[in-house]
Amino acid sequence: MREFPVFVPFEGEHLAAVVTAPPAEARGLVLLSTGLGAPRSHRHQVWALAAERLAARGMASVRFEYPGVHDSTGSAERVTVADLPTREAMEVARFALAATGAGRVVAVGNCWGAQLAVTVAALMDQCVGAVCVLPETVEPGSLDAVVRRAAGRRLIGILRSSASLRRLVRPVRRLTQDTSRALRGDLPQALGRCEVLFLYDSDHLEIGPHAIGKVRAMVDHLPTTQRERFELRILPGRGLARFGSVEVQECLLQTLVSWCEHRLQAPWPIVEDPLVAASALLPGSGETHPEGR
Amino acid sequence: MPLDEALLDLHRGFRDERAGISEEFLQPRLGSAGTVAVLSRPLGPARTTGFVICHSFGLEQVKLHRLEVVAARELAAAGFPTLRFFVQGYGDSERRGVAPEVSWHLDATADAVSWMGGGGGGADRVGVLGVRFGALVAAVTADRLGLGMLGLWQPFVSGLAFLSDFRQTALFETMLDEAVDARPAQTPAHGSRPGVRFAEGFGDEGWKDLNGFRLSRRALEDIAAIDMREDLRAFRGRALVTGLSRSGSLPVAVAEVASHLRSIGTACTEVAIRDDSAHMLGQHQFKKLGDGEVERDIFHHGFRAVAAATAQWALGPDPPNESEGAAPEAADAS
Repeated sequence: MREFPVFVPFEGEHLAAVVTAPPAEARGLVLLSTGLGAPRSHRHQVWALAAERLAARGMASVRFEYPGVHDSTGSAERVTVADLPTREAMEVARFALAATGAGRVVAVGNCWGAQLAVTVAALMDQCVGAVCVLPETVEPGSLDAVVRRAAGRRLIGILRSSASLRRLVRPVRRLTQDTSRALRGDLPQALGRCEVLFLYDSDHLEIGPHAIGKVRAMVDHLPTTQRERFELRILPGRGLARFGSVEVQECLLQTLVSWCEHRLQAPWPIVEDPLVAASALLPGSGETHPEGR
Repeated sequence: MPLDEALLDLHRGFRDERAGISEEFLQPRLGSAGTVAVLSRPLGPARTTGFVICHSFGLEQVKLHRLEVVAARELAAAGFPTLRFFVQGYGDSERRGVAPEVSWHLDATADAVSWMGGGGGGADRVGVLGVRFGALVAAVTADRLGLGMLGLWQPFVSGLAFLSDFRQTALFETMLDEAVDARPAQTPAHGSRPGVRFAEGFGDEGWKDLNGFRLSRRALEDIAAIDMREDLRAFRGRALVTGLSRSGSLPVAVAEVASHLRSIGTACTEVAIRDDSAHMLGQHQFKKLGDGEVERDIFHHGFRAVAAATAQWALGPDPPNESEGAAPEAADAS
């Protein structure tokens, strides 16, 4: 394995990244994205470890930092969560594809980076799969916003300060929550071209069945071909949100590496839409939506 | 298609004309194995003093890394080449999934200082900087190697004081409670050792899973054994002690460090920075606003203030009692 730390130019800024190349020709590339604020190697070096293991199975990878975070230049003083750094991620992926000679990519991310992985899978023709670790699947709905405006900040503060009040209000809030805009738009599009894996852990089964249910309901309404490309797995153990135990880190790494290996061994292209398939075969083909998001 | 190494080499660094600096990724061997480092340099003439930044311990390394980056760029803009790097067991270093040891921090820092003062960094004189646990590493290194400049950001006078604070961070609280008994009432008197129950909860490998971080018994013992009052006595160079607090006064623990430095005859500059988020230093730096649609970097201004104070101190005149052989700062610019 060889590693190359680089600064990828992007609109006047420089995104810090590490490209990891396997000893032989790469069979594909894995784009490793993080949650907001994490470094490219991620907490407890989990993405650096992933890069090592992917390389041992013949896969290249690139891990990177968002603008204004860690070694990247720029500012992240205020970050609008809905504004995913999609174009930045795709620029890093394109750079690493060119550098490693890989022809296709699997997008991987956790939390904010999980939504980013779905979006990259929806927009990037070379993308053949996405692994989403604990993606944010719901957001406050319109009713929730109306209630908040009517109640005022003081009442909201009182509700937040009491655990028993929060328990009472939670079911009402859940009723008003919507599937996140990013997923509503991009998940069906991503599933139109490739397979997508959502990963949760036991903690999330307890606190997030409602959120998982929203995603399942959305996917259940998709055509069969898209629905069959969606997979949701619950990893054993706890603390996946913060990679909070060595056990859950290990479990994630094993799942991630074997899933990426499987995707990058699959016949190419694996899209059903003939227009998408044709564009993917063109050398240097761009994204379906060049402007990204 | 083969690997395009020329493309990768071409992107190892960048030049920022606006900021007046360049940065380059390096892959030196520091300590027992290879690692990744970043050298920040001025685009104009470089001063002959260079700096090495020592990072903190455990997950704090991640949480405080941006401070190192901001400070390195500020120092480079002021003319000082500055090196930041990962100790083994952190970031992009070669050794991954291991429990870092204190000796790895110290050995790698010593190597980084040698690199900075040798052919790599080309500095005639090297200073060390560090935040929280990194400040302890910097202090020990400056004393051992007889360095002329020492910058400490939110330092603790001892490893036990650091561990006591480290224990209180939300992330580590639960499991450290099992491992560390560093309550003030039971903290041993200066000079004596442990007071920390090291032997509990560690497996045969000698480390325990601390919320995903491999915390070794030896690391805990070695951190607890560091005490500036013992380990920082020979230093006679220029020191900077910077503290962040919500009140704007120097925190008590930081003032204790400054007091010790003065007691050994060091010319010590104290800088207190008011920051509403000071109590969060070393923890997650992004805070959700409103319903969470926007997240704010709570240390955006605080880190810049620390970096500016550090550059100002670095540019300052050498004191009359500067250690022998150190060139006066006025003659430093080349």
